[in-house]
Amino acid sequence: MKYYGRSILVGFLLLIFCLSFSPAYLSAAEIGPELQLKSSIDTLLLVLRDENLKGSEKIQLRRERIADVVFMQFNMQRMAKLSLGRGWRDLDTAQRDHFVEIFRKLLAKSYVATIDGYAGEKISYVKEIVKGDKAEVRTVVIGSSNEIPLHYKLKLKGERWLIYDVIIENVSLVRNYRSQFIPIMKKSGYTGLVKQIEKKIALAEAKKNG
Amino acid sequence: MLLISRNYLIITALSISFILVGMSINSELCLAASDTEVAYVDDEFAEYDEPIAVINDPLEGINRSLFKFNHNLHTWLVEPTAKAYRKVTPSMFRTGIVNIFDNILEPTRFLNSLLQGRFVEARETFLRFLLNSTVGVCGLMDPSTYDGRELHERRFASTLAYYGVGSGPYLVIPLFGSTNLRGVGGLVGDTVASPSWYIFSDPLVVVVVKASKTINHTSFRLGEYEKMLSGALDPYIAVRNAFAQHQLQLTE
Repeated sequence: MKYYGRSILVGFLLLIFCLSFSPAYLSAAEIGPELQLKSSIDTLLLVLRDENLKGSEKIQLRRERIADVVFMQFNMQRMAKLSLGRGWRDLDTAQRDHFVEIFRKLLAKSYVATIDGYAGEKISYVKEIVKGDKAEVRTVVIGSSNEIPLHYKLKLKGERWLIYDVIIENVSLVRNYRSQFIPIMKKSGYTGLVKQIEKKIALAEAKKNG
Repeated sequence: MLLISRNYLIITALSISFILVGMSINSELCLAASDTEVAYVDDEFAEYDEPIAVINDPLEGINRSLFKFNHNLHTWLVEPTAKAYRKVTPSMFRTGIVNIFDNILEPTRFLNSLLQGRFVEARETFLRFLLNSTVGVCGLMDPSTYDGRELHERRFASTLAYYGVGSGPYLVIPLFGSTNLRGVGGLVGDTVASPSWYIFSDPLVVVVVKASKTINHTSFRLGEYEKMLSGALDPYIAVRNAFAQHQLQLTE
């Protein structure tokens, strides 16, 4: 019974969370990037602390849920585009959609696994910088002996602030992906890059199942 | 014997500083040449363009094989050892070790803050060292941070960067990891200025101390390295780029 009540509670909170972002109630532009980020992280914490999702046998389900909550806050297209660089301009719509899709999967493998390793550290919100439709929110994840600076870059899309880069300990994810993508594209072209990303995803998939 | 090795080191430091000066002139030339290559500056992709100076990697072939060596060393030796070590030691003990290593480097940080004209930081670092070495029982505890006096990571490499010394080629060093020629110069400077160099005079002891530091440090960050690279298409480039991004922060 207790088991059941908890998921209802989580579901209810999730519902409130979603409603709070519907334009009819409050627009995110009014809330500001930091507040919006904070509430989405709070939702994420609910998933991470959910007893029903704990344990190594539920890893797949848990990570799917994490990805759902997290990626809702991401502007995946912008992130994929900036990571690819100027080569993006040469792609047609179908290619672009496909690239965003595989980029999302690639990111899910690493980023979601990192979040899943969260062990109850405190998150402190240090600073919010807003410049027009772009913003940076600086946070610090405080562990028992170390503090990891975690910055988010956001851009206003419609009425919501969406994340397009995560800077972990001063290392930008987009910048890091760009540095890997460009030499691969120089060597084996866009098709070669897509092949490599798909191979990487398949490898991670096989590892998880095997 | 010891005296000879120290003299040798000072000579090495001097020759490296000469190389560094030469390099800084060189890298300025490099930058000037690269300016013409960047035709598009003001599009939305420009935000993430990589500065030419940070991807100087003429020794990529050797670096890649050394990276592989370090990668295997970390995966098969450092990480498992740190894991076992974590199991048998209380977290308080391990935090104490981190604090001691942090504290012993404070004089070095103090010196470099002074060299960079960062007097407020130098003062803070001095007060940190004073408090942590006494109230904090020889650096075992870190009451300064609780006091709101934070650690300022200023090393010789950042002093060199502060005075405009170019980064030089990217280098991977066995056991040590990513650095560049400027980083090697900085490391020599840090070592000579560090009290531990005078306390542990035997090179073997220095290596053992460094290994213990690495194991202790890793025990707090188990699995992070693997996770960091789990989404990388080319781990070598991913690590090199992370290093380059850190280098850009060096003088901030």
